[in-house]
Amino acid sequence: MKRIFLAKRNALLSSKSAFRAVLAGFVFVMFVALRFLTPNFFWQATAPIFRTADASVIAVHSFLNSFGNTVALSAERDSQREQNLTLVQENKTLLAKVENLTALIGEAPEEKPGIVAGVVARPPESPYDTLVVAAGSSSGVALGMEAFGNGGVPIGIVSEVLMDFSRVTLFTAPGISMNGWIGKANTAVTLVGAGGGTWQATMAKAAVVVIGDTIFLPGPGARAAGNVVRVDSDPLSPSDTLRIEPASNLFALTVVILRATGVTPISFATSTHP
Amino acid sequence: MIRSISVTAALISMVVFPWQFTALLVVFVAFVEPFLPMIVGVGMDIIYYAPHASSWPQWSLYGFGMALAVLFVRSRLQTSSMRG
Repeated sequence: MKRIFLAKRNALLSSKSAFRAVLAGFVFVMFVALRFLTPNFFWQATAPIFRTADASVIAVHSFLNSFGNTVALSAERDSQREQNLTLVQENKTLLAKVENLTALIGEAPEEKPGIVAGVVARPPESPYDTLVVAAGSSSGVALGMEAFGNGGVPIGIVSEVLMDFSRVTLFTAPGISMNGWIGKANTAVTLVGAGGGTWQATMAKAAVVVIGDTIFLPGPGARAAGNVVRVDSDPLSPSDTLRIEPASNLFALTVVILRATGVTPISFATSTHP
Repeated sequence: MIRSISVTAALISMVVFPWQFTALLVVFVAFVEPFLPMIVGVGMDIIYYAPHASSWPQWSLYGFGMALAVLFVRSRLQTSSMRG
């Protein structure tokens, strides 16, 4: 019987492996093309995946909490309820003071309404300090708008705008520096993004800064934006290094408010660029 | 089958889990699929990279570096199948 030998046969790469490699390469090229040529469509297609992921994380968290100590959870809930009531009362008192002062010195300029945007992607899923929000030029979003988290805490600035989505670069991103004030003495300080949702700042030891001091950012007025969580002091250095966390939990953001404040609080710290 | 499941899990973890978990998962799966770090690194940068947040796409570079390291380690561990 005549034997048939395959004339062309690659000993290193089988046809099946080559087909898989070509298919994977095609999928990859399509993925890249979608992302860069039609970014709005890319985010419209992937936003449901991110939302499903968020929902599954919440479901898993709830399931794991169900194994928690109910007594401890109940005590924690009651404590937080008390704190909430206290804060509501304090807020009412402050609002009353504002009304009295407004009656005395005149009305302050009305703050422009913001655009409410749902967060699609956030740290720590994202390794970069950015948010992708579901509001774009069709909703009135423009480059340079400031993003505010819970309680009006400024958290970032719009750096890219698509039709239906926008990207917000957080103030904690590496390479971003901004000016603010710290503590009761309102000492001027330059905050430098350290990544991972934190800031770093250097202060002279003479300006006594303690853990828990509040950081204020411009915007209009002074807005409480973070708290000092660690002070690194070197006896040989005349200055201390402060580690600062934002007041808003960036890892749990679900909604942000975008508003044009007319203030550009950031600059890019060229000295930190590699 | 384990290879397919682990590669799929690593790709899904890019959008579900924190990047720290994704990186750890990729380290383990890389010895089964050496090109996975490169794919995941480029994928992370395609989805999340913003020029204002970083000077260059770091995760692509980390992925390429890790893939090269894994290939080098595997080449030293595997015995050659081609005898003279």
